[in-house]
Amino acid sequence: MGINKIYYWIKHILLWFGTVAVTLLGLATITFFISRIVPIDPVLSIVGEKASEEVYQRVFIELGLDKPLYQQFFDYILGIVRGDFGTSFVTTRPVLEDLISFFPATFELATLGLIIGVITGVSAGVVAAVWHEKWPDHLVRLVGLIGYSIPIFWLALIALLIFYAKLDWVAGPGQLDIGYEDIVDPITGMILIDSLLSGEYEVFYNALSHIALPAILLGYYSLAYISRMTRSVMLEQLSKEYILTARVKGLSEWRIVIFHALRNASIPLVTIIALSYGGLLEGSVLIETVFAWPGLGNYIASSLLSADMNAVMGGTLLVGGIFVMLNMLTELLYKILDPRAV
Amino acid sequence: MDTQNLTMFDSDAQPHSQAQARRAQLRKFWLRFKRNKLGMLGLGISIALVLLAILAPLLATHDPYEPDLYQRLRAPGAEFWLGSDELGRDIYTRILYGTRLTLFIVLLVILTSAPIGLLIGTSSGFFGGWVDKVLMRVTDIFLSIPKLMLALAFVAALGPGIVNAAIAITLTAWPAYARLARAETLAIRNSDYISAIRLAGASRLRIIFKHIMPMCMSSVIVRMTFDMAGIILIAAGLGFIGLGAQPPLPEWGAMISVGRKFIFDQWWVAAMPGIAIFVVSLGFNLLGDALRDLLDPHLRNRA
Amino acid sequence: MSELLVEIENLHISFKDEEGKVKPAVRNLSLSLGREKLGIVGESGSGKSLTGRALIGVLPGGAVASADKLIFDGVDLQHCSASERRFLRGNRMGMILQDPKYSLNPIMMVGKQITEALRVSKKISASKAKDAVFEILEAVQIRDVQRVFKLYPHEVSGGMAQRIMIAMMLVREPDLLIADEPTSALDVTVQLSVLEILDTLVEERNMGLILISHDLGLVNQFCDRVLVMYAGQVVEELQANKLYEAKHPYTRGLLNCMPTIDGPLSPLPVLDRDPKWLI
Repeated sequence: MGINKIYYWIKHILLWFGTVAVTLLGLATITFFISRIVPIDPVLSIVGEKASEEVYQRVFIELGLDKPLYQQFFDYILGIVRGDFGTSFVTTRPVLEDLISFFPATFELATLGLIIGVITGVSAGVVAAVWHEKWPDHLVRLVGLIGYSIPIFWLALIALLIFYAKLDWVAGPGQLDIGYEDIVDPITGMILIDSLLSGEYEVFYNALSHIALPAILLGYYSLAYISRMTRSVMLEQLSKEYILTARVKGLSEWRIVIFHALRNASIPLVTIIALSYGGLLEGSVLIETVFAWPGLGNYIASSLLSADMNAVMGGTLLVGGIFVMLNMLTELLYKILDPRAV
Repeated sequence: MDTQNLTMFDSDAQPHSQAQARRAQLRKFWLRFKRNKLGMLGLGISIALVLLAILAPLLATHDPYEPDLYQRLRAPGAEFWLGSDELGRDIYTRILYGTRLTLFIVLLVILTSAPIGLLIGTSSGFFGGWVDKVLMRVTDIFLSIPKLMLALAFVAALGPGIVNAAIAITLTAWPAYARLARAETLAIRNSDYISAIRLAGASRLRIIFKHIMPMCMSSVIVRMTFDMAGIILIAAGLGFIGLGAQPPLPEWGAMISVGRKFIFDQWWVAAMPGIAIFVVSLGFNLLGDALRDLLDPHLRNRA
Repeated sequence: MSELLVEIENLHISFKDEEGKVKPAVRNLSLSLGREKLGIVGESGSGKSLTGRALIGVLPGGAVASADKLIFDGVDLQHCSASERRFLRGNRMGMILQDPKYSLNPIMMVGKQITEALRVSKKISASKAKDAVFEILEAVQIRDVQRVFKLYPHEVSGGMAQRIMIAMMLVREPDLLIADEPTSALDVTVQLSVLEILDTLVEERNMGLILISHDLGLVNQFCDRVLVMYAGQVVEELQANKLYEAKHPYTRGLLNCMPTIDGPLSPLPVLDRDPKWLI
């Protein structure tokens, strides 16, 4: 690598970090100000209504509420940098600890959902593009249209009704049946992986039957978006000149679609898919509520209802941070995958 | 080819005023739009929504708020067309009145988020420099959190309630318009006709409002229709979690949340409102698709 | 075995537009070609490119072609199977497109694009394919073939890219080559050298060439015969060195528009289109 290339990469990685830092800072600012305009008195929610004046004052000072606003903000930011998101008064644990313990379940669900969504979505999109304006295309578009018009939490309820209650094909809400809890040591925090690593195959199958429905629902949610994007990217590629050249060379249609069009399409597509992961995190808030899934989404939702502001802000900051990372990741991916970019 | 030979009765006559030209354009647009059957369906659903909201009291069969505990959880039938809920209220009537809430939220959000976003976006694109950088950083920060999450956070701060929910959703919706408006503004900022107007002495405000903003309108309108579907889904999501409209308001998301307890036996309590959400959202999406096919300048040039 | 490589009689190509109306693009086109160089001249929209594409079998979607005769080396192209057509297309016919910036796959190494052409139907080892590619790249006068093999299309100049395109189409040793505006996207200084390479190779390999262009002078220089097209029809057919004997007013008009180095300094005449030519 020439010296110029090295400079280029250093400059860009620094810029990358700088942008992430600035965006996260902005995010923290917003969450700080939101938490400070909450009409609910945070002291009261900790000490309760019947506490004495002394107790109230003590907690007031403990929370740092006597200090001027800019000082509070500064302390808040400092705390975040150190990893201190405050304490959740519901779980009475540091929010960071809560986030770490709840994150793997969401990660497991969202990732599985993404895999399902990508495999089905990209295939559907390719099929729709190749049979443009014919019935496969219309079918894919219809399925996609339903996917982003339907309220996902409602679909989840209906799916539970049909596939769990009526047909008994999958297990019900929750990550595991009660009898199987606490058998497997949490190594990664993800039940599917942990149970396989421990060789507890019964637990694995139970976990699989619990995760199946929510993962498929999330998969459908991302299929709707991914298939639409794949279709339009593929249509764009298939109308390009180099495809004509490939046809003239006498290549078979499938070879052209997959090795030429799809390969070129995968560059913008990979970034689109990475971004859709953020949408999945959003969807999991609702899905986790319906399926009583012990994940981040459920944590945030229940913290909201209890007005546990530290928890809500911590969770939002984490999700926002992941989103920012995803955005930055996609920019990086583009530069790596496209030989024209550097 | 001589325009002076064309008479008033010739439908291809050249327009004599701006108003006439606009009317002719609208007519042409309408004719093209009519051809898209799915778009017409979407339009129909949207109009139906408005009509139902207005005519709700006339079309209702019961009172939407009055509980009747002897009629709890009745199955759909002659008395209760879509069944009754856990307090004995008619679900059909409540869905009907729920159209008003839906319409209220959608309109409130659209009519505030779009102008705010438009203003910020065009200013950012037009003035450039540090104004642009600052505004875009702020926009990016808002865009960096998934919409539902951000709305949840705002509603948590503001407190539950339908107006707060609408405000929260507005705060998540404006960035998209800002980005859109900025892109369009940048595209035309340096074009010749803008320079010509500037030379003629137009103030910057005039340029932004009278010339740049109208150019953004088609993208904004398309975005609006898609947003309407998204807004309904987010509002319903908020209602489902319990942070949107509070009981006894017949908000569809909240109705599903309540119905969740009875999903296995009295499925209609949760199912019916969901179908309503789906149909309206579908309608807006179809409308948006059709409008985009017609208005998007990128698509228009495709053979 | 017939002498003629290509026999086309009464080719019609038409499109269906948005409202379902049928619009003709090529009408009553007949041509025959042996192992010689034929030029097709016309302006944009005259249908010259479509003719070439119909022969090779890569018409754009929505286009419908029919002819009394569409024969390549004795094979009836209209009634053979799709896979046979595809085989002919890759092995025995080739087509060079106008702008190599767009006609080459941007994310594939240029060498790989040529080996791909080779390995479509022939069972050939990777290393033998590579050698064949080096050979053909040298034949189009590219130096340092080992290095060029690994380059991407955006890393080579226009002239080199077009030569790579030629190499890609000739590596299977086809009998017919269709060149659709092969130099129109290149710098003037490069145009001639690319055409000369093309010319040499076609002669060496005893191939048939159809050169499609809007440039009458160019076609005149390189081809044995010239077909002039206007509005989807052939209006004149000439021997290249007998261009001045052109009878059709359109061709005469074109000839009059060409600047000559020792001609008068007055403005060039503008072509006067007679609607009679549309029939």
